[in-house]
Amino acid sequence: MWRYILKRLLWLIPIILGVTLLVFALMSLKPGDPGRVYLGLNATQEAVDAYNESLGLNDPFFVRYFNYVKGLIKLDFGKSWVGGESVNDRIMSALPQTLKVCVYALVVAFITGLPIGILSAVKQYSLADRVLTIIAMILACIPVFWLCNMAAMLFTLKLHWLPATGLDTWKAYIMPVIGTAANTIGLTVRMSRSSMLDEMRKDYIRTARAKGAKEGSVIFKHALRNSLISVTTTLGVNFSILMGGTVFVENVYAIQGLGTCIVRSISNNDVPMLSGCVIILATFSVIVNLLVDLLYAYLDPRLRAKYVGKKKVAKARKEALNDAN
Amino acid sequence: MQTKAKTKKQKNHGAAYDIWRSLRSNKVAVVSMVIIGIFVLISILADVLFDYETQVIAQDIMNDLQSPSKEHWFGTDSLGRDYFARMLYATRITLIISFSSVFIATALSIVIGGISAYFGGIVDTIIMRILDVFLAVPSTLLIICIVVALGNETVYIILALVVYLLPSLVRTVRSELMINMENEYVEAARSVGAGPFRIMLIHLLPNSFGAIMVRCTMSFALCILSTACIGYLGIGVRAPAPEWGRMLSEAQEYMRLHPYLITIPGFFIMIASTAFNLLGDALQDAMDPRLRGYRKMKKKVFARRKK
Repeated sequence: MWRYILKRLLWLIPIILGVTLLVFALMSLKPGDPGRVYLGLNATQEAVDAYNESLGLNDPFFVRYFNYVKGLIKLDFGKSWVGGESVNDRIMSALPQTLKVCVYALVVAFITGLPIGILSAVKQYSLADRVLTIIAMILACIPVFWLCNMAAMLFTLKLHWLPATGLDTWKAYIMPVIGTAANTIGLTVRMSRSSMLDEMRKDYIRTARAKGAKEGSVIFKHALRNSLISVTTTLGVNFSILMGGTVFVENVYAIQGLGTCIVRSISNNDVPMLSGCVIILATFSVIVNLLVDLLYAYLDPRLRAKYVGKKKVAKARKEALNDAN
Repeated sequence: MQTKAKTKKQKNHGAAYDIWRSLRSNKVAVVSMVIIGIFVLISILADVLFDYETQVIAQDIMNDLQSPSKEHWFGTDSLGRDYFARMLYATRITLIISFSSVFIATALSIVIGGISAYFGGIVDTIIMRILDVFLAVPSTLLIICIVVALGNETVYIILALVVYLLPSLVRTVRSELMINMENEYVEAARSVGAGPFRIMLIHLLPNSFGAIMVRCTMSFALCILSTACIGYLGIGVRAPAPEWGRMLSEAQEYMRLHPYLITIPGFFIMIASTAFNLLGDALQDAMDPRLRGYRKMKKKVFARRKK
């Protein structure tokens, strides 16, 4: 198991490097004149050039990339092109808000999606199942920004129940969290339904029923435990979808998170800020995916055996071969 | 030859017909196909119904923000443009972008996935690891980055969507092909001396076609959503051209007094992407012979019980 964990941890490094290279390469394609933006239209061309030179913009691509990565290792994302503030500070102040909303949303999606999915799998082809699956599909396809706007229109403008900006009270969390979770709830329902159905069709369920096990214990003790394994694998993917969704949710509800940062840096042409935010979000999604994979390896006995007992199995196989010879 | 033709006729007219029949008996699939048909029809007829220059992008400030009426079915937007005409043209733009990106992405993924599955080994590893990097960036952010970097020409939006779709499509193609490579007929073909291209095109692809089609249909939904997403952020299709996401973000300002301006585009996005996803689901069910039998069996059992 430890070897597996170590292997996966080491694997993080090239992936994150790849992500930084991807983002950095894309951003270097973008035409931009930070000196002009920073110093204003009245500055002389020499001053602008000197400013750009000081940012190292005239160096060849790989030198700039190398310097950027060197900064990243020291957790330094550089300076914003607009206003020259440190990207780090910005990210540090914005990250907690985004993570909070994302994690809550993931939890909400899981605890609402899972029971609904199981219910609709157990009652397959019933009216409830049909209605629930279609609702889940609609939820999975709903544009996040639209849902958030509609929710704000209803609950804030019409009913005055919930505040539509910031994250100051617990009430303020309700709309952003549900808005972020909406797509994932739909996906979780669909995923848990299909994996539950897969399990319910397997032989061991028939065996359990034949032995006279009660329906409740067949569903919860046998089918659910196995279908949970495949549902956990989707957690990682879902988290990365949530991270993408926060860009819009934060924008609608004026939450000062990374999403708002990204939107602002798009309109300001602020390349270091944008790449910093994207790299941070990508890194988090990679880490969460890794954790989910490890959890999966731990939960699934088949996979666990593959890594835990590898030596023993190899030894046994060798002995068997020797015996045969 | 004659006997061969005869047996073919008796044998259910081939797999495609089976799938079509199964789709036709599925109500959800029929509804979603009708909806998609309507969207396609809309985007073809947009030209006939409204003139782009005078009715869709020409501003008419005197008639701004009118409520829905006989003349303007969905009212007018803040610049006095007919919202209905803009919605129709937006449908067309979205469908064109989605179709071209799905088409290009599928073609590319078949090539890349094919190479990866057929050659295996180091080639496969390199391709898959590169795709892992693309998968690591949350998809919305990847699209945003590409469009921001290259600019919001339609070509670049399509490129961004292709890059976004490619990793998952390649994975599907690859795993499908790998499963099918295990079959004896590949071995047989190879032993007769068929080259990689022949095996790929004639033996493997037709057998993997179903799964790829399912992914394609679902990719359409993703494309529609993503196009709307970047449109909403203002980096989508260029300004005077109508686009669902951009129309929605422009309507945000007026949502207090004119809620329909924001409701309509969102509704269109939702319906379109749901329809494609439901069709993909139904296709998947139809492709799965196991499930097809299951459903039929279930029906039979029900019928017997009713008697």
